Amino acid sequence: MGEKLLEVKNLKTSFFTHLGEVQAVRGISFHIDKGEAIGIVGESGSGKSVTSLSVMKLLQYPGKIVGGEILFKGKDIVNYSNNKMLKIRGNEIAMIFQDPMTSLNPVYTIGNQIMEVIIRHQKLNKKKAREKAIEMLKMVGIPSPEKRIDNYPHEFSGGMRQRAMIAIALSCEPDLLIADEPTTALDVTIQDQILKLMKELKERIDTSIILITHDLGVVADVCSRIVVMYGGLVMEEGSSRDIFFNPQHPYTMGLLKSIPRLDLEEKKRLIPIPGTPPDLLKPPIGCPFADRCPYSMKICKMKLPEFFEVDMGHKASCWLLHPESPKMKLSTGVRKEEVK
Amino acid sequence: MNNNKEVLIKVENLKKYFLVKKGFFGKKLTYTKAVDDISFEIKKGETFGLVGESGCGKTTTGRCIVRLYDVTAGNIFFSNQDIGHMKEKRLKPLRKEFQMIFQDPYASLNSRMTVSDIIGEPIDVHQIAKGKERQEMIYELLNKVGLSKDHASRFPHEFSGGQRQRIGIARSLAVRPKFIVCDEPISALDVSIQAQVVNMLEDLQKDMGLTYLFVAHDLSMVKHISDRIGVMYLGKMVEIASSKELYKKPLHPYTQALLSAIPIPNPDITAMRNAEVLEGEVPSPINPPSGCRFRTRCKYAMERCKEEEPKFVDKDNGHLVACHLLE
Amino acid sequence: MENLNSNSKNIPKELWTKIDDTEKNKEQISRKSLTYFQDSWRRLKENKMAMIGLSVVIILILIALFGPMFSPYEYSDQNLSYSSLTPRLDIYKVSDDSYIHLANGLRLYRVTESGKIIELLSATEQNLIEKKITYDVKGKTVLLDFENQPFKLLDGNGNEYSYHDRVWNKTYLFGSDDLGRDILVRVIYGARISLLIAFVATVVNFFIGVLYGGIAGYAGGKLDNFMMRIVDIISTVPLMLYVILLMVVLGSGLKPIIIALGSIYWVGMARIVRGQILSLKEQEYVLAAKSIGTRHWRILTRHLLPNAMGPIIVSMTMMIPRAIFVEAFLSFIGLGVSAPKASWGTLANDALGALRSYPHQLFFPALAICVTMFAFNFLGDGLRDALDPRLRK
Repeated sequence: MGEKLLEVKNLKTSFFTHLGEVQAVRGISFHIDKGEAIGIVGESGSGKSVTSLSVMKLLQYPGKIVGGEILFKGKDIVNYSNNKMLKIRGNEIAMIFQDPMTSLNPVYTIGNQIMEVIIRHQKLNKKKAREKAIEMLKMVGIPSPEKRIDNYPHEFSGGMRQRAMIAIALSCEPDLLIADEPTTALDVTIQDQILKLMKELKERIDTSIILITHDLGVVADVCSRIVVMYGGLVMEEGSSRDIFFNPQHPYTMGLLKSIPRLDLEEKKRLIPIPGTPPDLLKPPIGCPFADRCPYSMKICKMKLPEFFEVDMGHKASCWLLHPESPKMKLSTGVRKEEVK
Repeated sequence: MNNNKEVLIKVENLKKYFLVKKGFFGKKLTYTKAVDDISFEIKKGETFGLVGESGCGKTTTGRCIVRLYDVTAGNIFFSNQDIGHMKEKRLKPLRKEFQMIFQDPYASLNSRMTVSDIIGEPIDVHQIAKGKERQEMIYELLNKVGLSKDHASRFPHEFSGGQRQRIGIARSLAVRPKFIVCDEPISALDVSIQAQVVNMLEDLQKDMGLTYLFVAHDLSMVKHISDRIGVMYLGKMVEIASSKELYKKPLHPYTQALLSAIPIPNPDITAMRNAEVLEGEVPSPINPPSGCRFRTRCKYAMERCKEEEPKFVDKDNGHLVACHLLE
Repeated sequence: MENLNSNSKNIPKELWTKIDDTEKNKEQISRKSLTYFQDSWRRLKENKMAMIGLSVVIILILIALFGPMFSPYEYSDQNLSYSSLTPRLDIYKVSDDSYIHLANGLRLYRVTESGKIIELLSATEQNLIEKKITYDVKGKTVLLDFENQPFKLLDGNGNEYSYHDRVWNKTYLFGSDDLGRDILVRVIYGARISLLIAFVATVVNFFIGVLYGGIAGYAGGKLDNFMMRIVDIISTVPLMLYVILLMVVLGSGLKPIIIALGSIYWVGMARIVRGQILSLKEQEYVLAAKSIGTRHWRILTRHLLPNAMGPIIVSMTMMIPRAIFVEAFLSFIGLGVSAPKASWGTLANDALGALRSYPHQLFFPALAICVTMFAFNFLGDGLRDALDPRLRK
C-alpha cells in the first residue's frame, strides 16, 4: 500500500434548488494512493461528477459541500479559501472535462492557454513557458507542436483538443489528475488513443488519476481499483478484478450483465436493470437500489446497509452480505472461465 | 443467412452532398460529401447495423432513407418503389411505412407538448383515429413501451432519458410502420438503461415484424442487435458482413482497427491486448483523400490505394469488402 | 465479516424476507415538476424589480381603463377662469371660514381651508396706476398690492393677511393647464392613447413579425434570402419621413402613427423569430415531425413557434416602451394626435411654452412616460431571465 494522496471521508454535497435540497452526494468515502489510478463508475445522477467537482471545490451555486472531509496530502481542504484553492487547482490537482469543445477558450491560442497555467504556477518567463508548452504538446502526441502551438482551438479536431486539455492539465505535473468522462464525446478509435496516452503518461510522470466514467470498458483498461457509485452513495469498492470477476453488489452485477459483450461468442439476451434511478430530492431511506434490485428484501427499503468487507480492499454495501441474510443464488457478472 | 428473404430496402449508389460554401456569384461551390456512392440491401425482418465514427455519413444515410433529406443521386427502393426522388405529396402515405427513432431523447420530444400529444401527432397527421379511439391507441402504445396511462398527460421534461426514449419509440410505432431507422437510439442513455431499450426494440421486432436499420458508433451494441453490419468510413461503405462474421473475421483494416479499439469490460483481456491503436483522425469530408479514403490512416496503404478506388467485392457468401489488399 | 456495527445487529427475522415486484416503485416519475410557463412564472416572481414593473403595468392599465370614470372632468372640459392652477396652493386666511389663493396673473381665488377652489373673485375696484386691486371676500375687503414683488394682500386697515398654509389643490390634483383642463384626467387619457398605440402596434408587430420571420426561417434558402433583404430595406426607411408622408395621405391622428409603427417595427421581431426558427428547425423533434409526414404549417405552428415563444414574448415586452416612446416623441414634435385629444407627448409639448411659470404641466406627463418606460423595461428584463432556457434546471 502506498501513501494516501487523497482521502475523502463521508463527503456530502447538496444542491439547494427551489424544489428543495437535492442530495447529490450523500456521504461517500474513498481514497487514492500516490501513483494509483482509480475509476469512479456510475450512471448519470449517481453523484460521480459532483464528487469530482467537490474535490476541486468548483461547485457552482446552488451546490454546496454540507459535510465530510476531503484530505489532500493529509490536509482538509473543505474549508480552504478560494485563494488557497487557486494555488492547488491546476498545480497540484488538475482536471479534464468531458467536452473538449467547450473547455477550451476559443479566443486564445492553444499555446496561450497552456502557457497561462505554466506561468501562473511555475513562475517561468514567457520564453521558457513556451518551450515547456511545446514540450507538453509533444508529450501528448500532437504532431509538429512548434506550429500547432499557435493554433486556435477550432483548428484542432476533437481528439486533438482533448490532447491539448491533457497537456494543460499535466503542464504543472500535478499530483492528482481528475478526468471526468474524458472520452465520452470522442469516437472509439480516438478514445483508444486517449486512453493509451493516459496510461503512458501515468507511468511517465507518476500522477495519480481519478477516472470518472459510465463506461466499464474504459475503467477496465486504465484503472487498478474501482469505486461503483449509485444514488449518491458508494455501492461497491474493490480492485478491478474484484469488481469484474467477483462483484458482490447486485447493482454492479446488473451493470455487468446489461452490457453486450464482444468477447463472448454467443449472442445472449441482455439483462437490463429495470426502472430508473432514485430522485435525490427525496432520497430513499434504505438502499437506493432497492427499488430496482431483483433480490431486495424488506430490510433493504428500511435501512441503509453498511459496508461489508468481502476481501482485502473489496467491500460492498448490501444487506445480502450480512451474515444473517438468507443465502440466495445470485447471477454474477463475468466469470473468469467465460474468458477465452 | 436469410438469403431467400424478401428485400425491403435497397439502396443503390446513394449520394448525399451538402452545400458548404457558395462562391461569390455562386460560381465556386464546395460540397461536403457526407454519403458518397453507397449501396446495400436490408431484408425483411432483419436488423441491419450501420457503424462508423462521427462524420462517416451513417446518420445521413439513415435520414436519406426516411427521406428527411433529398438525395443528391442514387436510388432508394422501399418495397420495390423508388422513394429516393419521390415528391412529398406522393410520399406522405408511404411515410407510415417507415419511421425513425432519434438519438437525443432530450431533443427529440417537443417540450411544449404532452406525451399524449406527442404520440398522438402521427395519428392525427395520418388521420388514423379520432376521439376515444385515438386515446385508446395512445394508451396501448404507452403500455407497449412499458409506461402507464397516467404518464399520458405529463410533459417530456418530467421523464428520465430512458423513459423519453421509450416515448419516442411509441411515437414511431403509432403508424404501425414496417421499417424503423434507429439513429443511435441508445448512445445518450446510461448503461443500465441501454439494455432496457435494446431489449424493447428486440421484442417489438418480434411482435410486430419490424425491420431495423440500426445506426450506432458503439460496435459492441451493434454486434449484439444486428443480423448484418455495414461499416462506413468517410461517406463510403467499406465492409458488409453478418455480425458474427464481421467480428470473427473482419477483413477491412478499418474494421479491424475499429474492433480492436473497443474497450472491453474485462481487465484480464485488456491487460493481454496488444496495444496497437489506429493513429490519426478522420480527414475532412469536404476534401477526402483520393483512391481509398482510409489510406491516410491505414498501415497497409500501398501506392495503388492512392490512385485507384477499391471495388466492393463479395469475398464469401455475402461478406462484401472494399480493399485492394483483398482483391 | 464479524465487523458489524451495532445498528446492524439483531435484525428481526421477518425483515429478511424478499419483497415482490409490486412493492417496488420502478417507473417512478422523477418529480412533480412545472410546465415551462409555471417555471418561468416562478422565476419571474423571484425577481423583485420585474414584479414591481409588472404591478406598475397592471395598475397603469387599470387606471387608463377606469380612471376617467372617477373623474368629474372630461379630458376636453375647459374652464378658462380656472386655467393654469398649480397642484399646490398657498392660501391666506381672511376670516375663520374664508381663505384666498393668489394665482399667477393676478387672479385671486376664494378657496376652502383644505384647498378646494370655490370661485375666481372679481375685483370691486381696480387702481392700475397705484397697482392696487380691491376685492370683496364675504364682506371683508382684500387689497392686492402688486407694486413690488412679492405682492401683498392687505386688509382694509393696511395690515397684511396672514399666510396660512400650503395645501394640495383638491379641485385639480395635478393642476390645470392653460385652458383650465384637468391635467390628471388628461394624463390618464394620455395613458389610454399611449398604451393603445403601444399595444396595437405590438400586436400588429407580433403577427406580422412572427409570421414573416417564421416563414423565412423555416423555408430557408433563396426565399429566406429574398425575404430578409426586404426586411433590410424596410429597416432603412427613416421613421420620421415615413410618418410625415403617411400623415399627408391619412391626415393627422392616431391612425397614421399606429400604421407607421405597425408597418415598420415588425422587422426587429421578424429577425428574432427567424433566428430562433433557424436554430430550432434542426432539432430532432422537428425532424421527427417531418419523418411522420407532418405538414409544414403544422410544424411551424405546433413545434417551432411555441418553442420560440420565450424570446418573442421578451421582445414584445421590450417593444411596448419603445412604441410609447416613439409615439410620445412624434406627438411632441407635433405629428401626433390632435387637440383636444391628449397623449403624453402632446401634453409635454403643450406644457413647453409655459415651462418657466408652470413646470407642473410638463412634470406629470413626463413622469408618466418615465414610470411606464421603467416598468416595461424592468418587466422585460425579468422576463428575459425567466424565460431563458439556459437558466432552467
